[in-house]
Amino acid sequence: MKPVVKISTIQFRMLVMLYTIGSTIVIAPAAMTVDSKQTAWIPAILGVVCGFVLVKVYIALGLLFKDKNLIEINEAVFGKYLGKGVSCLFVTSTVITCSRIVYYVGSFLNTHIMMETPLIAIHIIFMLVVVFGARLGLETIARCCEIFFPWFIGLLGIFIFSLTPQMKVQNLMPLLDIHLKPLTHSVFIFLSITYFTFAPLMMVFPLHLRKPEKGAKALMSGSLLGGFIMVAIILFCIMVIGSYHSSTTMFPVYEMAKRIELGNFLQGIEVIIAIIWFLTLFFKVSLYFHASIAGLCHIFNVNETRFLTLPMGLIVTTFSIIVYPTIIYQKTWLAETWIPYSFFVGAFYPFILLIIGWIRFRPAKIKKIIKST
Amino acid sequence: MLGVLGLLIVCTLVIWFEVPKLRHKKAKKELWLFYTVLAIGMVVSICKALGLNVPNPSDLSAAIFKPISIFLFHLLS
Repeated sequence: MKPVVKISTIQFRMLVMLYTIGSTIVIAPAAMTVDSKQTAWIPAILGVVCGFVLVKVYIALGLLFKDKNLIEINEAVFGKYLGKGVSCLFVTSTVITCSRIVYYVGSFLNTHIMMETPLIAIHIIFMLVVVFGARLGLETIARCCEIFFPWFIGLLGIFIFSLTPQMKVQNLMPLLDIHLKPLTHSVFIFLSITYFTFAPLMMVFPLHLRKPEKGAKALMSGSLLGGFIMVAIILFCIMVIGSYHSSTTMFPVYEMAKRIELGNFLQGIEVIIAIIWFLTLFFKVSLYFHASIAGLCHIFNVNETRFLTLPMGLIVTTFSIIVYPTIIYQKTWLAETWIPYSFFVGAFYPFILLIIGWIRFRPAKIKKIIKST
Repeated sequence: MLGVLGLLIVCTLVIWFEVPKLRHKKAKKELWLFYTVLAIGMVVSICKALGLNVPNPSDLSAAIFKPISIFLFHLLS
């Protein structure tokens, strides 16, 4: 039996932070300012608070089953055959969602930077790097995250520092003009992209950490820090380019970076946003890819995962142009279907696992909860 | 046709890279899993390269979850 790869707590915290920011920084500013206009930072803060509660569910699930990953938790909670069925559904969902995230990379590059390159070529190059990382293993991906993290923080710092002359506080007025229904919709959009996608992290969380308790704290701090960075970016988006332009352009963070002009010489450096997006999306895709391959190998009780990387990379690359045929389809699908889908996979399913896990393995806790209510 | 040719070359390269090690280790289950996943990938990608209409998994998710979304929007508005 091959020894299980272990990653350190610091690496896990950085991985969770980049994972949380992952596709949120691409989709959330535009999607949230459509409903909430200039108050879009308020549902972001509420989303982080709700995410705090959800991450507590994940931590409780991880600490209940130390040294198991999500597939083994499925088998422990649901029994052997139903557990394998649920795991198959989970792996399929992870593969398809991985393709969706690869599409976000390709659509951004195709729209703004490399307009004449066919989409599939960008996806192939991106997935080659992801497959190469997956072949080298989870420990290499974690070390890579540790190396790239200062670059991410540095570039984000330069970005925010260069934007401070352009921020206009009157773009935020009226300040607390909140209506309940757009607010709840925006909160759900934020949650669905950020915290409801945490399920593949459960393939890493209890099993691949040396000390699961410290890993739990890293999960909590990493997700909260990532959420707060997202709140700050949404706030700056509204302050710099205003709520109308945030809601109508496809990638408002990129538009914001185009406005950087510092001392009449630091201009046109919007590519730093593209680099930040590459890094965060790369780690999100890497973790989804690792979750799908490790999941498939655990379902069939296979020890090695290297041989599946190339075929699975082929499947993900092919599906990345099938799963969203056009941008219109993507936007319609995100608006209509994504929120219930991600809620089901990312919030409802771990909650059910936790409740049934408590009933089966810690009946004392259930009795204590029932007695206290 | 060029796309299908490229895909067959990629398939041959993948098999050439991975199968000798697996055969040397006599790992039957890994070989089965490898060939199954590769077959699924090749079927879907050759269909897409030939321009056939591949069923979209997003349509399946939309069929399941859109009614819930319509119900939630009805509550919200």
